[in-house]
Amino acid sequence: MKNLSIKRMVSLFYQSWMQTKKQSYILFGVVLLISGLGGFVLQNNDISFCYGFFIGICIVVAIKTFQFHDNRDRQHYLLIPASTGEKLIISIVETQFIQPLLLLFAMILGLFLGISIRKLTGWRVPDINTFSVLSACLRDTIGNLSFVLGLLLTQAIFIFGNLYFKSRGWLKTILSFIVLMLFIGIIDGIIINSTIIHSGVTTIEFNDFNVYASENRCMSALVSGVVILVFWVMSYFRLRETEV
Amino acid sequence: MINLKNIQFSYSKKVPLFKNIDLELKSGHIFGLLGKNGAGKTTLLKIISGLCFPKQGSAEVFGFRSEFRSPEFMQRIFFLTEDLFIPHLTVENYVKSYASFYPNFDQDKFISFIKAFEMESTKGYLDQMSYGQKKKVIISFALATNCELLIMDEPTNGLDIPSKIVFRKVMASAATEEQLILISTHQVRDLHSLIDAVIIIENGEILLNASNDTITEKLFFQYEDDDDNSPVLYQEDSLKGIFAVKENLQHRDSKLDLELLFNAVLLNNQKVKEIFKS
Repeated sequence: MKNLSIKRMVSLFYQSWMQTKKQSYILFGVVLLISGLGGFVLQNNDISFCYGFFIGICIVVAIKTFQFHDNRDRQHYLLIPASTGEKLIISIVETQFIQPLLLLFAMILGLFLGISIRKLTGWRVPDINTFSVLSACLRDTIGNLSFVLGLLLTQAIFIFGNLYFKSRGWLKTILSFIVLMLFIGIIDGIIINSTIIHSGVTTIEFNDFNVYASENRCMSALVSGVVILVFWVMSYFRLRETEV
Repeated sequence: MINLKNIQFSYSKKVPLFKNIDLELKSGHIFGLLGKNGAGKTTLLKIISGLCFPKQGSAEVFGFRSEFRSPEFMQRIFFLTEDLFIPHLTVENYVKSYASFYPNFDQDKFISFIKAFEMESTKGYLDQMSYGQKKKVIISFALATNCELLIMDEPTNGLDIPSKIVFRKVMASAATEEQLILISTHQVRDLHSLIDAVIIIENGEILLNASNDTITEKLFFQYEDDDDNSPVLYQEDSLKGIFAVKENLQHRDSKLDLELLFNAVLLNNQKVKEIFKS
């Protein structure tokens, strides 16, 4: 474990935080403001608009990770005396865990403040239940495994995309993802057709299996977890072989 | 110590940059790396620092394979690139952010170098300073890291004349016997009094790698007309007469001129190689 030093990782985190703190404050403020406004004008307990906004910001954070503007940025990053593993771990922890948690905190705080101001000013009475809104917010985000895994996977894909493509990583990642999905869809269709036609599996049996697979959350979580890990590992190798 | 063996490198498959480079550099010297534009100076520095990987051969620095970029290796080198990366940080926060990566970083030295460069204020943000000031801060930081290998790519670019003088003084005072300093430059006059060994690279080949003492032992730099009939490797007219580089057959003392040397090596590289082999 010579290449994983806590001291260096703390230094990396500090260095990264010092350089990105201004952006983090801005993002925190924007989420706080939007969710605060949301809480202020909320019609009912439905705060799904906040989730969309939260996911969007988290993806933006992932898109910014490893987005080197030019070779100068790239060579500076590669020359920092820390191992590839340390650099990747800190980036993942920061992008995929700390930043989303901070943004979630901003969202909850914003909603709380928005609803509280609304209550204090007496606007839009009868008002909504603060506790139920906030608990729903937690339940639907960090309390929802599918949500967490989905977000982690999306971010992991963008992080890898930024490392894989030297420029406009986010755009190329989206395009590659669409092409890959189309390709998988076509292959999937061919396999399903040939399975049903040639192996005697009926459409009903096949649909039953699909329903079973989609309802089996454990299996789905496992698959998502493995895919996330695969993207992290691929990011590691890509970062290690990056030249300037 | 730097040890490059049979390095092959190319940016495109058709045009190889380095065919078979061998280079061994020992600590305790300040090497000047000279070459024309596109000769491969920066690429060579990148290979040494692990930013580029050789297609074949091995690049070892202090016993570490540079391409692996291990933290133990990276914390022993500092590469001052020509294009400086300047974050939006104050000088104080820059030092706080990066000094912890270098175990031998000396804060007092950093302050003394900053003072030597006569920087009026270090309170502002680095990215809002002039190019010369940014360079002074990063040079001061590089020297204060006390890294065993200090690589500098065109360090005097952007420095004004007084700062270039300070740079030479600071470098001379900061360099230790344990350090190896490798400076790539076009501006040979800026570093003339600083370097004690010269590497000349051209067309992906190391044409010369010798200490100043060896160079003046093997070559004679003539600054006025004399009766010496030794073969001339290079000569140029000047207002003071003819300046020439000759084979030092009579073992005379002379003062090394890097520009004359560079031109002599490029013009007569086979002959120079023969002279230095013998």
